[in-house]
Amino acid sequence: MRLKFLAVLIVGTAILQAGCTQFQQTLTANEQAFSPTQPQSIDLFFSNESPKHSYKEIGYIVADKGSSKEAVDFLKEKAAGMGADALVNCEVHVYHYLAMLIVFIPIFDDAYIASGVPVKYSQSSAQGERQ
Amino acid sequence: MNYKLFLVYAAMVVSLVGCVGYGTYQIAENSFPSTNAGDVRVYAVTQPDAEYTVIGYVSVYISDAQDGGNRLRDELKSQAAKLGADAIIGFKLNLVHGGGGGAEGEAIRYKH
Repeated sequence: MRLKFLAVLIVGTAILQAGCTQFQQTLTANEQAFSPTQPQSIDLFFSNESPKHSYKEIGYIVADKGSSKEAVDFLKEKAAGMGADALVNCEVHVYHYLAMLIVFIPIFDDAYIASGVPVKYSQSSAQGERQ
Repeated sequence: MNYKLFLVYAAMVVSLVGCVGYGTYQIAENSFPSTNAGDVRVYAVTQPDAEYTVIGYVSVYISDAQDGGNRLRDELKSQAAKLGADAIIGFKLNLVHGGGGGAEGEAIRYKH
């Protein structure tokens, strides 16, 4: 009976952990979002790169997913929701960790934590690029 | 017996939620009067137009901050405002795998 009870707790906890994406997002600078854009049109710039356009920052996003690609795709989806044209200062870190489930059951796993700053290109700059 | 096991499990879960921690380090030798947290602007990669001085470093951690980015930002603004900051630069949000989140940045004061 005790084993059944423990099994239910373990499975329940595992389902809860697997079902949710851990993320944080917030608006910065003028704390203003824009009309949503398309995730596939979001430009990505990692820490040593920057867009040719001048831009305004919109916010900050960080997410924990099961792979680097999933984590970056998630950032793009959230950035598009804020109306961003690009994500700058993107970083992806992987953490190998050991979790103890119900005190005595060790579980090893990897966490992929991606972060980035959604930005909006300045209108005049973006128009200049198109011409 | 199941009841006791449940209590142990519940205590473990409760111990993991509801914790808030702050870290504030004042760099400036002088103290400044507090500012209004609502007026504190937050910048991650861009910079304010005005000249400024870095007066301190602020950070906050909330153990139950799932999807709580705005709460973390606002807590950080409150900490910066207590130092007398006009804005925060180098803003970052952090995640702790398995629960909790944090925010950090440098508190700055404009050279008025």
